Amino acid sequence: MAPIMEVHQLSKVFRRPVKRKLGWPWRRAVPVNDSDSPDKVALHPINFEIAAGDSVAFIGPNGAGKSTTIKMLTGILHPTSGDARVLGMRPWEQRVKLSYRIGTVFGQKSQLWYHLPPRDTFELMGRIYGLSNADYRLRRDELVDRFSLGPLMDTPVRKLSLGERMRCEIAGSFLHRPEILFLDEPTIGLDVVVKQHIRELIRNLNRNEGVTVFLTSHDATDVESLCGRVLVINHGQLLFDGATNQMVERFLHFKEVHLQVADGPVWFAAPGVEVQSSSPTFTSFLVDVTQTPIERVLSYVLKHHQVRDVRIIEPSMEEIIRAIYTEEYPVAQKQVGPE
Amino acid sequence: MATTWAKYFAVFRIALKNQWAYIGEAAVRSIFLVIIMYVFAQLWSTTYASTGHLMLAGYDVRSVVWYLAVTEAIVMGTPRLVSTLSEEIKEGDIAYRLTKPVNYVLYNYAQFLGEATVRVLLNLVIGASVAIVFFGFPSLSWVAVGTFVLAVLLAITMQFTLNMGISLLLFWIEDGRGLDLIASRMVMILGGMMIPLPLFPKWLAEICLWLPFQVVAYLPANTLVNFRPEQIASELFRAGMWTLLFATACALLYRKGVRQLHVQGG
Repeated sequence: MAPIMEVHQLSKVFRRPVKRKLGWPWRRAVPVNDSDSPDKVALHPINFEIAAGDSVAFIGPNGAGKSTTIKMLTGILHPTSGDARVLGMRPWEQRVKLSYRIGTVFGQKSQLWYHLPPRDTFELMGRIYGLSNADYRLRRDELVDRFSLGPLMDTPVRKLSLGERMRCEIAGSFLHRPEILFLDEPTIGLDVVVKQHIRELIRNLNRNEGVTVFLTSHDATDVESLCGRVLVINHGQLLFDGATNQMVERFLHFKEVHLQVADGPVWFAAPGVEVQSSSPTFTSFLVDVTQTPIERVLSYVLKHHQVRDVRIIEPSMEEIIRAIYTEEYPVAQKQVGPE
Repeated sequence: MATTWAKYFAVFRIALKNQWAYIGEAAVRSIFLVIIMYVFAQLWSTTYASTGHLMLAGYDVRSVVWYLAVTEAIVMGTPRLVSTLSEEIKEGDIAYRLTKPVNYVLYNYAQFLGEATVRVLLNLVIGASVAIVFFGFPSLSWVAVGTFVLAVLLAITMQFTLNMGISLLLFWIEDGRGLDLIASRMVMILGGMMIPLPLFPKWLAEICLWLPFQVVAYLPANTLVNFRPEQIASELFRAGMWTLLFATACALLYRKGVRQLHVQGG
């Protein structure tokens, strides 16, 4: 099956406008651009494909090129070079036609009318997307049921909590049955319980309706719980494109091994193994798994000591994302491509 | 085509409903209109008394006060578009509007019209109430009232195109507040909001009648209080041409601005 989204050597360079000095009227204006301030490369040529039904996280620090990429994929921005196809269409050439088939939710921007109940915004969305009255009512009732919006539909938006508003936002963006849903920070500002609920709703949309989800988020749990695949971008370059659970190996290949033993301390010397703490009953190692496999450490310990408890702690998604943002990972690991 | 107009009518309807949702707040703002009306009623009464004339350039005191009720109702009732859109355009939020299948200018026009309908209507009721208390009803015909409604629609549309044009310039300029202020003062002075244009010096009145600003204030007010069947067609035609010209300018500015957005990100 053809991918739902194809990006091929897509790049964006913002040209700095030439500033001209106003000289004497009989002189030609001369450019005064500083040669040290070149055009801004927002996105170096990137490539990726997304299949229908995928749930993909698109992460990177502020200024990495995420918004630029999303704007090109939704047709708002024209690329400098390269190509992209979303649902078979070139977004910047068929923006309006594409907009009928995609949905967008921006966590920090609301499409709900503040003084009116969500019902009114839903009706407006139905008209904007050209739904017939019957189809709109059917779809609305279906979403109200699925998102448990019944008690909220006739309450002015200004009286709803942030979590309730976000549920309405996502439901509203889904009225016209988009095939791709672009979500930009959908859980920002929400408490942990509400975040979980929102994630559940998005996950259900993806699994039950086959909607392709394209998510940007700085929340590590959003990435971990919603997306099977991650695209990591920084300085306009795609650093990683692969399964979420492979990010650990690619970026932070360290694991902590905590050992409770009866006959410690445990001594173990091997390349990439660093003792973090040591006592007669407890030892912890930091192991670089690219130099020494965990099994080797464990097999040595189990062979030579009476082990009471073992814990292997992998870096959290948050630590991985932090490491990516601060570029605290080995240069050799800056590779792109699915495993 | 029907679907296209249905979507903008839906925007108009929701804007109307949204504005109606806090009509109380709008009514409180209109207290200022009552004060202005009272002050000007006293001012013009004194002016006419001091000249010893009952009519000046075809206007008696009652006509002038009703004239002011209409101009103030329209100018105070139309939303402040430049301040709202300046944030959207400068911060790049307009980009997110483009992910929906709506034309940005038409969407904003439908919203502007919806809000203005409630506010201008409320102001007209309040302004008319004050005028009735002091001077009673003006002499009206159904034709004049019908034409007045059309003139008010043109006035609101003209005000929109003026505001929208300034807002769209924000794709290129840093701050539109100066231009917004100039435009509002043009309407206030050269548009006949404060003083009916026929009361200006003749040469100035002739110039102002050919400018676009009179479409916002003078045209609807004069249509109501000084309806002249022999001239109304040409006045409406001129107003229509100005509105069309500014609307075209908005469309071109938007196209160029969005191209700038497409290429430069804003």
